[in-house]
Formats: sequence, C-alpha cells, structure tokens
Amino acid sequence: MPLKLGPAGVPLSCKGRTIVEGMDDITVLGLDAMEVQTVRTIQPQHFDQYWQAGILSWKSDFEMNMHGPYYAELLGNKRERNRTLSKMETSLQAGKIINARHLTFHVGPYGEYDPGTAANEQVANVMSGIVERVREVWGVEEEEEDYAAFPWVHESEPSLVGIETSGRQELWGTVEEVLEVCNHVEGTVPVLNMGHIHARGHGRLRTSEDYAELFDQARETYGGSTFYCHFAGVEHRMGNALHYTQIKKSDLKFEPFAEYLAEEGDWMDITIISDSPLLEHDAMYMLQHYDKARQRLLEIRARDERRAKLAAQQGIDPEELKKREEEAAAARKSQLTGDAEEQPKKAPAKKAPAKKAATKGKGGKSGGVISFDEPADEDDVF
Amino acid sequence: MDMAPVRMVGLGRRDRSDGASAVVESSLEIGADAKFIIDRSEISEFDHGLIDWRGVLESKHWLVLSSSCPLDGGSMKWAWGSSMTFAELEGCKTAMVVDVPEEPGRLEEAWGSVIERIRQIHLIFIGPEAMRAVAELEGIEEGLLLGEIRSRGLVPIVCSFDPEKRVASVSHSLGQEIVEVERELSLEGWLAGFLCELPQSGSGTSGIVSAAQSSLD
Repeated sequence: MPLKLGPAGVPLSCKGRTIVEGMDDITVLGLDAMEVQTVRTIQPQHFDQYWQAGILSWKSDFEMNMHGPYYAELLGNKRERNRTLSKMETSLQAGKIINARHLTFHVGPYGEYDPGTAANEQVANVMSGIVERVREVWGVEEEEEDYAAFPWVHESEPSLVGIETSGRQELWGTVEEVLEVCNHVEGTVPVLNMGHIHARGHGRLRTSEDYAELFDQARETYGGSTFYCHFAGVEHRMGNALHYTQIKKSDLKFEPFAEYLAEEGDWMDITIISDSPLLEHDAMYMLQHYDKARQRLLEIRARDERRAKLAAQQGIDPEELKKREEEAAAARKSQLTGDAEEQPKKAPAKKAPAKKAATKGKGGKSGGVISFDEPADEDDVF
Repeated sequence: MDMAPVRMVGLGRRDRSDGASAVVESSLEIGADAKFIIDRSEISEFDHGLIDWRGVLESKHWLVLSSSCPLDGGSMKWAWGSSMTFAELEGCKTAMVVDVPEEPGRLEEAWGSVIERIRQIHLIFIGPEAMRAVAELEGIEEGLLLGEIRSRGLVPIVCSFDPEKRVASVSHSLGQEIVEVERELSLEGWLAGFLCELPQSGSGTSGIVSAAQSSLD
C-alpha cells in the first residue's frame, strides 16, 4: 500500500524556514510528504522558493501538496464566492509551480443554502470549475517552452483537487457531502480530516472498526482508492471541533487508524498529513505506530504460517494445533501466576521492618497489605 | 490575588519595547510569578542555543509572545518559534500579543508568522490599532475579525480591549462576549489581569466573563 506521511508546513524543528530546507529536514526524519500552507496571499518573491521545492520533489520521491485559503465562502453570495475563488486561483497557480499532487480546499459555511442536494450541487458546480481551471493552467502546449524549467507541468498529471471535511456543524463538509461531490466531479479527491470527522461525529473514530466503516463508506460512495487525510488531536464539544491538540492529548488516537491501515489498507493509495500543533513530531509518532502495527501483523502472519506447516507435518488440522497451543500457553500462564502469587508473600516479609514505624499499632497479620496504603495517609494533612 | 500566583514567562525584546514585555511587566505588578526568558540588555542579540526551554517553561501557565518579535530575525526568530513548540510539549499555553511593528509595513509578515503557528497558540490578543490593520489585511470587517480568526484558526480564545471605551471583546469556543470594565486600564494591564484570572476562573463562558472583568486590584 502506498502510504506517505508528512507535516503541514515547514517542520517546527527546522532551523531554516524555507520550504526546501523544510523538505530536507522531513526527508532526514524518514517522512516523504509535505503540505504547504498558502494561508496568506502569495507574494511574487515566494515563487522562486516554490520552484526550487517543485524541482526537488520532481527529482525525488517526495510528495508536495498545497492547502488553499484557510477559510472559504464558496456557498456565500457572489462577492464572497468570487473573493474565495480569487484566493484559490493563487493557490492553484502556486500548486503548479510547486508540483503539488493535491490542492486542498475548504468550502466554508452553508451560507444561503440548507444542508442537502442544492448545496451539494452548487459545491459540485464550483469544484468542477476549479478542476477545469487546474487543467487549464497545467500543461498548456503553447507554453511548453516557457515552462522548460518546470518539466512536471507537461509530464505529470495536474494536481487533484481535494475537498476537505469540516469540523463544525455550520460549515459544509460532512463525510457524506464530501464523498457525494467527489463522486460526481472527476479530478477531485476527498480530504478526510480525521480530527474534523471525529469532532463532527461526536467522537466517532475510536476503534479500527470505525475506520473500516469510514473507508467502506468512502469505497461504496466515491469508488476511488486515492485518499488524502489530515490527522491531529482535537478537542471537541457538541459535534464541533474546538481546537487542535497534539495526538497524545486527544481522545482521537492514531493506533486504531494504524491498525486498520496495516490490516486492511492494501487497496488504498493514501497520504496522511499531520496538522497537529507538534507537526513533524506527531507525523513521526504516526509513522512509528504504523510500523508497529505492520510489525505486529507480520508476526501474526508468520505465526499462522508456522502453525500451518507444523500442522501439515503432524497431519492434524491447524485449528486443532492452535487449540493445543492455546492450552499449553494457558497452562504456562497459570504456572507463572502461581509463582507470582508465592513471591509477594516473601517480599513484604523482607520489607516489613522498614514499614514498621508507619504501621505501628496495626494488625501484624495483614501488615504487608496495609503498609501500601499508609504513606498516602501520612501525606494527607487533614 | 489571594490564590497561588499565576506563573508566566515572556519572550520579548531585550529593550522591553514590545507588547509581550509590557504584559509581563504589568503581570509582575499585580503579583504574578512572571519572568522574562531573556534578560534586559542594550544588546539585542543573544544565544538562543543557551536557553533551557524545558526548565524555563516547566509548570508555567502562560508563555507570552509578541507577533512583532520574529521580525527581529536571527536568534529572536528562532527562539520565538522554538518557545511555542516547547510550550506545547510542556503543557504551557501560549498567549500571542499582536502588536504593530515599528515598521508598520511589515505587519503582514508578522501576522503571517502568527498564522503559520496558529495551531500552537491558545490565546491571541489584538489591540485596537493592530485590529484595524489586520482586518484590512484579511479583508474582514473589524467587528467580525475576532470571531473569524477564532473559527478559521481554531484558536481557543481571541480577544481585544479598547482602553478608551473600556470594553473587552472575547471570542471563545462557546461564543463571543462583550464585557465592560469598570476601571481605567491600559491594554497590557487588562491582558495581564485576564491572563492572571483565567487559570482560576476556567474557560467556560462565566469564567471567561469574570476573568475579562477582573481589575488590577
């Protein structure tokens, strides 16, 4: 399964602050993707930096991506929509220079629409216009000479337009809405922001089965196998994301996602971007958990294969052998537990003199157990 | 303050000419356990590599920063970024004072640096002067700016204080509050009081309102 992981922006630990310096640091960390944030207006002087990053990503296996304006009003009135579209135009021009594989866009508030078909149709119309525009700016034959220094513009596929799920009830972008639009507009890809989905679903992503359900839903509705995800810890309330946190501090854990990807993610081509406050630290944390999950899976598979071979050699059913192994393991465990129960009986006897002062006046027979509670009582000033 | 003092550290210019320095000094006046990360000096440069971030930020409630500091470049820019990462790791919350730089034309650059790190910021304070400039930069009405920044960046608290009208505006995860303050206060005085009260009052609506109303007494 092609899985790419990286941070949303120049790594926090990077001494330089340019995109190319950030890419170098990301590669050193063993990661292979980055999402450039174009949250502010792009200045002409940024283009040189973008081009250098584009060249580097073209020559290496490094995936560059770009995030469009961090707030959009595509369902707003004409003025609001045009303002958003002009910001998006800047992003997609920059995306071309930087060799972005995905351009991620938000839709914004429902505005004049109610959630439903009309809103989705409007988003689909706008998004198909954006896809068309991306294709226009990529690979114009007459401009081939002008873009000789940008080989990807003519040799690569144009960026995919990513539509991001939203983390608040008043914003367009439930999983269903995003998948429906992506299903209808070719050239788009769902951007599954797990923090947003978790928050909007009142904490719905807890187990690997929850992720399986989410991706099954995506497979059935959208049909594609290319996914672009954002992952960060999130604090949420009443179905709304309140703010991002580091993964360890959130009830949205990465382990179940890693487990799902390792066990059932073979059919996917997936990029995961860490947009946690600890950008690259959490990206590394995710990579470690994914590697662990894969390692665990490989161990299980190796054990099953070994069992099948042994069973064949012994001429018994592998299930029968499994049963026997489980019984042997249970016997070993009970033997170990028995030993462990005997050991504490000896240990407190040795420690007893040290605790004597604290247990003065208490019953001698249960002194070993009581002595564990005594220090807490001593600390209690009341 | 009757309770244990709030612990904060500030990273400001060595000549103390920035917003964060003013807030830390005001906090000291009201009894907070406030310290500067970099000593006062006539020489602006310092060795950022010598700062023991964990030691400095451990068990602190707030790290106070100014948006204009990264414009100083060199060590300050590096220290400014690092401080937020270590604060996140140490569980210390970052409060960002958005001030207008000495060269007002560089506000966009300073604001861009804030946006780049917005996920690491717990509280953004924007004074009236900076508010006008940022609203213009973002193309958003001044009255909507705090709420928009909050919902766009998912920053838990975005606030402002108008010393002339004595009105504080606080946009937070549960809504927006407009609070009238009885006493005459400076910008930094109000923010210092707010930061010192918040850890005790809590981040619920009533806690935020009570912290915003807090005086310098």
